[in-house]
Amino acid sequence: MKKAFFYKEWIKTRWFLLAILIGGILVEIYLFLKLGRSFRYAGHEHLWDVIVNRNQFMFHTLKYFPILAGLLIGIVQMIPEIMEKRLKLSLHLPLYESKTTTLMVGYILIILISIFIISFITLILGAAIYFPLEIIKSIAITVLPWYLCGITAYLLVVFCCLEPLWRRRIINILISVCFLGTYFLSSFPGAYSKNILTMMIIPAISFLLIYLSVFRFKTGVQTN
Amino acid sequence: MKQFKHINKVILVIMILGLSWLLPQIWHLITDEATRYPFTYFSSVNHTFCTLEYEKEEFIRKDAHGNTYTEEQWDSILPMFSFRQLATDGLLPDTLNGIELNVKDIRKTNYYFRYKPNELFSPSIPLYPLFESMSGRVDLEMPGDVFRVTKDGVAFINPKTNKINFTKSLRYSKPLLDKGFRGPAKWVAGSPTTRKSYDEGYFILDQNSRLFHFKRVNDKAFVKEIKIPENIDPIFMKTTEYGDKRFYGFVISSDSKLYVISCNKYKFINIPVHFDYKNDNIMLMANLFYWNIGITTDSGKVCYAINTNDFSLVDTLRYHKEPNKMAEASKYFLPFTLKFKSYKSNYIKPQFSAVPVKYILANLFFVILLVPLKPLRKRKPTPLAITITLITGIYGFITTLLLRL
Repeated sequence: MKKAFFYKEWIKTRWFLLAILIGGILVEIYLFLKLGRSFRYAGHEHLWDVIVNRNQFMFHTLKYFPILAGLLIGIVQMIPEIMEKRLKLSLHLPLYESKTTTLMVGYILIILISIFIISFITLILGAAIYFPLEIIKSIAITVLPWYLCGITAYLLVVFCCLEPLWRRRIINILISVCFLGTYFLSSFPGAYSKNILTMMIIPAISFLLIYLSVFRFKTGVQTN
Repeated sequence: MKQFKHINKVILVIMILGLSWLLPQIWHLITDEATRYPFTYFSSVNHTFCTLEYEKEEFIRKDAHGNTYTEEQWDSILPMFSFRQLATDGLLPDTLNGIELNVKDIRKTNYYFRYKPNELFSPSIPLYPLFESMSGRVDLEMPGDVFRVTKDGVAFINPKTNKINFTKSLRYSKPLLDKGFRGPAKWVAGSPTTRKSYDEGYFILDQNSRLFHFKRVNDKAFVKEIKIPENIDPIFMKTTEYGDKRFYGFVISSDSKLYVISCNKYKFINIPVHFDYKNDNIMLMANLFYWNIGITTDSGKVCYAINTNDFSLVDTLRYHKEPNKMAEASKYFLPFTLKFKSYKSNYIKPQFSAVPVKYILANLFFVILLVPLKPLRKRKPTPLAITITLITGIYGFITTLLLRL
């Protein structure tokens, strides 16, 4: 049954996952082309100088890729479930609802995290050609919250979509906006370096919240 | 699946935390007002503080005794501040306080120093360019590489190849290690810019809290250990490289004391000002006779006049911050605040701050308000709703209302 379950999700999301993967590759190609041009225009020493002493960050464009990827995959996975009430069928399968939810979300989560890991490693390996360890560390700690934001965005879309009541869904959307907003509070390179653990707690909480929406969906909550 | 029902409590907590983050921010957006203190400068003629204030669309120039001045009189009592105007008008005195005045000397001794806590509490990339300090050229030039401080001394990296220059690294590390340096550095202070008149290299505090002066002289490493007095634990240093070449820089110690390191035998000299390095801003305007130091705190501003020669305290002037009544009012209905950002730090970090129990009446008011709002909630307030509102006030009130608890 698990295989059939994964196959269903795969059929639903495969082209979008591929689009996210290609989108990620294109963003990185663009970033490195732009970096190459900056090196040609400003020279290596000057570019290092502005990065180190003037707190310039060369990969700001990447900021929007993970969150857009998370939102997109969450929407394409969940909209058919709630528009066509497919979720009802899934929750009536001879599996615990918690297991069904975990399989459904876990499948996308694993693929999304894999795409983000590929994107992150490509960025770090590419940057390692041009920059020393100190700058690499700064890049890694600056972009890491953005990837965490992408994961959180996906989980929060699921949390909002699965909520059966519109009134509560609006509250969930407001909570989600606040959660996602915490990842964009500063554009200072390395600003989150002392707070990465807290930023990791947010996706963990978001994951838990999904079960609340499923519970409310399953029990057919009409008020509150 | 029933166990997940309790996640509802998580939503409750999240909403209260979210509101304690958003509501104070909104309140600040509505009520925040800039605090402006008069521009204050110590007169080297009257030997008293003089202030310049903008009031009712005109500038008011006064001294600490209440005497008011015209613009021309103001220039003449503050010759160290208005020396350019006085020199242009041919009114710059020949001597003042027994010292012969000329524009060149005044310029050399007129400098500024600024410190904000976010300079210390800020992420940084520990790579530094080591300029040639004796190049014989008027302007400094970029050295073509940067160095990092390692366990084994220093390592120079070429930006073009992103590779370490081992020969140069060894050449510059040896004198450091010979002097007993133990890396990596606790901190490195220097000004990595070519826009300065000369270069004094870097000051490096090693793992044993020993301070080293490290610079490049004729393509050789110059290393000098600086003796730190026993009671000083330096946590921050800002190099100066001012025209008068009297000091290497300003040092702040862990007990919030300000020192300068003199170019005369690297002596630490205490500047008699009181501040808290985690919260307060320092602004120094130096001249031939006095250092005007302004310490801006959360509760006001204190201006110090320090004798430039012996660093003795000459005078102080305090400004108390006018409390913003609207901001103060928030203490009566916002019981606590969650903040992620602060102008005192460049790090994003969650910080809670609770106010003294002024909000208890407001909390009771919100509990009572739960009852008439029953139709909105479509049920009577539950004991949980009452407890939450009683403890968290407006945050709990809005949350229980939205969640219909």
